[in-house]
Amino acid sequence: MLGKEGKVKRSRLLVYMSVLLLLVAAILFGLNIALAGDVLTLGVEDVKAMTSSRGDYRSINNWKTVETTSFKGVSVWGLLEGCGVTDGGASIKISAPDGYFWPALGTTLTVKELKKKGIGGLLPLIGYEMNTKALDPEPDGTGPLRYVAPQYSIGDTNKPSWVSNVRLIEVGPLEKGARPPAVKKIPADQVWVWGNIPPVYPMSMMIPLAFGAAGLAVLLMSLITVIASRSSRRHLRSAVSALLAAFLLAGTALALSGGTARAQASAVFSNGELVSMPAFSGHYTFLKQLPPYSYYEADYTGVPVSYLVNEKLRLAPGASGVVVRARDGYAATLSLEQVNKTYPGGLKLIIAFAKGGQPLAGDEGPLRLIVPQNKQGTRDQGGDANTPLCARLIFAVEVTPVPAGVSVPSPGSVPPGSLAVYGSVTEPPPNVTPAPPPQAQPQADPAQNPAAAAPQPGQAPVPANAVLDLVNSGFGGARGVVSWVAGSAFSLVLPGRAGALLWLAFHRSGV
Amino acid sequence: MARLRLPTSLALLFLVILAIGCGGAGKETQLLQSEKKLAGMYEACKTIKLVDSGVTRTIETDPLGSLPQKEVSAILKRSNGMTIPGTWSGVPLSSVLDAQGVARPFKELKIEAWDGYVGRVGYDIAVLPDTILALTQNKKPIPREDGPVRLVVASQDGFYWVRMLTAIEVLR
Repeated sequence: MLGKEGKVKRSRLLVYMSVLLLLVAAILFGLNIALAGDVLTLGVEDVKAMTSSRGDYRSINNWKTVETTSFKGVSVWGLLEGCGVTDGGASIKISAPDGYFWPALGTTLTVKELKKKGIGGLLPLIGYEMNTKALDPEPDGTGPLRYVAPQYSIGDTNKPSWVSNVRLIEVGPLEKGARPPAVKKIPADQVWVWGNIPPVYPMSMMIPLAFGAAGLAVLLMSLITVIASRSSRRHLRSAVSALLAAFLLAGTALALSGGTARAQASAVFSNGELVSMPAFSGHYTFLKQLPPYSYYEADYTGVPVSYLVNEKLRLAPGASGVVVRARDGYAATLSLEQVNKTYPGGLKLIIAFAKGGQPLAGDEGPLRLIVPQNKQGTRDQGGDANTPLCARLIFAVEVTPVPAGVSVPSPGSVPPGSLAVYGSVTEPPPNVTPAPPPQAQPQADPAQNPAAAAPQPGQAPVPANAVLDLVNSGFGGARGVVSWVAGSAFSLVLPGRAGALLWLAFHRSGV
Repeated sequence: MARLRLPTSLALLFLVILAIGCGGAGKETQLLQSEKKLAGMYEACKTIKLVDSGVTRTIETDPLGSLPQKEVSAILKRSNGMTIPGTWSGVPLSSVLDAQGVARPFKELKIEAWDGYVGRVGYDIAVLPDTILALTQNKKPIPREDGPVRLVVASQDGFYWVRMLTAIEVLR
């Protein structure tokens, strides 16, 4: 049997051991991140092991030479999906060591476009076999991997889009100042996927995790020892250091889990989703800015922008304003105050989808921004001109500033009638029921505006939901604090890139 | 005892992990086989076949360096919009054709590459002084994978600039 002194020694030893193990785990974890980083290295053999497809690709080059070539390979989007790319709006760039790349300068190629089938139902391919023969690598060949794209119409000059000797696939959106790896330095039998992909955790990642687990086990033992023996100041100190170590470990785990949450695609609400949101109907007045200063009135129904950015999504800290974008390039810039306030007559600023109970006509809809007058009335009555802000053909609501790494949707990427909301917004906490919808404007007559009778969920949150809210926000807050502190600690402890990357991982966990 | 052993065993473990980590390094690439084919291409392109009205002649690229050289500053514009400015020098295509006794005018030249690529250069463009069979690029021999000579058509986009040139057919 050990005496009191022996027990103290043992518990102290255990704490030292656990801290050491955790430190090793942290260092290994950091080293591994630094080594693997944000590049996914695929061997040609890895690509060949993926689900393959074969097709006869018709091509026309700049000389209008028509050829049909048989290729076997993997679909580009399938390959990207395998790398964890889920954002359809992510822009892709495919590069070769001779400097050639696709898409052409000044154009973009998105994952969504790569999913589009061309003539013959063919998809863009990373090919490794041409006319049943393996592609040779350069300097004289076009392989071992070659990007080939089908024609989307029979006269397409598609050959320039083909990229021989594919080595690098860049996945956007990229963070500011991010530098792709030098394509010339990538070995001929590999293809690297780099950019906005989930962090890469190779099998060797299990080693630091094992260390971490061992550290935790020893820590638990020491805690039990401390609790089993009577408390003294020394024990207290041991317990505190053990807790600190546990804190670091929890941070590591959170970094691992949170790091996978990369920059999300903007939320895109389909027309059906928009129409089923709590609608607002009102009798709006309009005054034009230029002579003859026309004035008119109309009933519109739509979704308040304040509902979209405060309840459906949440404004991120630092959100400064809103830009509502139209398909024709027009943009209406609004302050948060304009978005959130209630205008004379109880009117709200809305994205309208119906006018007088009917869907908006093609020249103004399917979606139109409706900004009420600050003072209703004609020019003579002192009304203010609001039509310049009432942009037609709306497709997106941008909350400024747009953080680096967030997809900026193009009009073409948002289906007609759908609405993208992006920028300084975050997802609301999970399982949180949105707050009660804004009350329909009392002047609105449901008989005249059938859309005003759109389903309006629970007027007040039921108590059970309130409790859930509290639990969620409490958990979210604690998680945020833990990962922030742990992230900062790691970035201080670990030198250079490893620290920075870890910090990034924490940052990306949505904290 | 335990205190003494702990750091030692940890250090050992660390070394083992390092050894495992280094195991995957040093893969070989399959370029060697390709290099052989490249050499074959380069040899084949040293002699350019010239076909005119059913008569086949040959243009040897080695002596081209001793003919009067023309330097061309141009921008190579590739099909994806990227631009590569540079200086190319070599022998004007028109003087090579003249030396071979190709009668003017002709309709166009069908220019073939070793890899099967085919370009068609009309008479007006073929006889321009800055349409050359280039031997150097930026004062250095043109890259070996482009062949001994490369067609440089300063007035046109990159798809005219045929690499690995092996044959010219005169179409009338």
